Amino acid sequence: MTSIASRIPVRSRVGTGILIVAALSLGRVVTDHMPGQDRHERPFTTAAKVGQTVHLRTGDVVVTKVDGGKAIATPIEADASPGLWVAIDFTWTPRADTSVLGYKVVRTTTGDTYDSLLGRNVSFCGNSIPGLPESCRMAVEMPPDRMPGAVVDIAPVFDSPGYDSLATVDLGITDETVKKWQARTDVVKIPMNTVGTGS
Amino acid sequence: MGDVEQQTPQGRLARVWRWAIDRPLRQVVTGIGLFLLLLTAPFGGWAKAPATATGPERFAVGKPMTLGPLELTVDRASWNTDPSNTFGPSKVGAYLLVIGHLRNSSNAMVPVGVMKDHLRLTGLTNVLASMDVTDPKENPVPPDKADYTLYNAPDTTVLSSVAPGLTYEVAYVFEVKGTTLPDRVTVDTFGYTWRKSSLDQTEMWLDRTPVGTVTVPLHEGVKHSHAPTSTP
Repeated sequence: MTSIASRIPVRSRVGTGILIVAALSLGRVVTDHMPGQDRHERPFTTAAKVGQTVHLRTGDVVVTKVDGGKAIATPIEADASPGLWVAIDFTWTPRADTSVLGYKVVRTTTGDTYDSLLGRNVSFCGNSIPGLPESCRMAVEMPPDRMPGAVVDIAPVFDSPGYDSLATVDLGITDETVKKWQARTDVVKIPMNTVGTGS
Repeated sequence: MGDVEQQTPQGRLARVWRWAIDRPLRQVVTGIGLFLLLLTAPFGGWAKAPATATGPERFAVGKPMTLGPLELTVDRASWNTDPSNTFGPSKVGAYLLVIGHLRNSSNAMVPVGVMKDHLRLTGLTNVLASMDVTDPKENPVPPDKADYTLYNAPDTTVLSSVAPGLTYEVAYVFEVKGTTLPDRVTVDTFGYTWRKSSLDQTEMWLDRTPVGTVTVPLHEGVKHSHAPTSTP
């Protein structure tokens, strides 16, 4: 029966070991210099303000109105928040078949995120016809002290906007805006989305 | 000279090494396996790990518990056949409500999986699987298998997630068969760890682990038709 020692010469074994160690070291060096996940998956971001149109991969989006208050009423239910609601109107005009704006997340200056698709948050925006503007609505509830400086990230995907185009729109919320919304006693009405020129 | 070399510790070691690498491949692999197995002996080998001496911590009513992204404070519990106009009177018995405050202390919306599985009843024998599953063939279930529906108490809307930084007054609503209920109820709570999933390397809340136990007095609540508001 053949043993390991008799089958492989000592010099060959040492050489193989050195090559393996060298290859692993080289791999580590290359890996350390590769861009991290945050960098190579980052979206193509366009910053904008309320009223400015952003050209995304599959269509154009423009935030048209930002409102807020303690309670909202949709055609489905009425919700009072322990914080405040911020309601955002925007128009979406798709250019291609894959035209849903699935990612609509409000992000604070400290990085907290409020996804319009989760919890009691509201997202009225459908799969619109290319070339036809759709009036969309969303609303998220959040603590008042985290509202100033918040932006809304909008992308034509459902999960992470990585690799894709992303609109980052400054909502223009200041301390004064928050105080005004806290003083409101009426309910912020959120109608359903509409397609075409109606609003 | 060779005999002298073999008497020294280094010589004996070299002899053992030469003997080992002259073995057939199968024997070498088996030997390495046995050696690795022996290495586990100081740590208990294959013996069954002893159970943790301390169980979940006992929390007093009103004391907050950290459950991964959530902070829960259990305040009180009540039961009634018809506690709210949101879900109507029970057709099989009553609703049991565990009421408290729930805060999202993380920086993102809490996943549905965590929202649905961080509190369980213990000790009851007449709990239904959920408010939606009332078929007698499937009920009652062991209390730790009973799912709750989580409501925002002030407006009785369902909470499938909670927003970062907000504290909600909540009611965990269970349905029970009959109206024979104890004067106190015990709930177990579970926490999660934020880490990368070994399957897809995505960071998420994983490793559901018992955190605490709270025993809270259970009293009969007010019927919604007699209540000043729809609050459960």
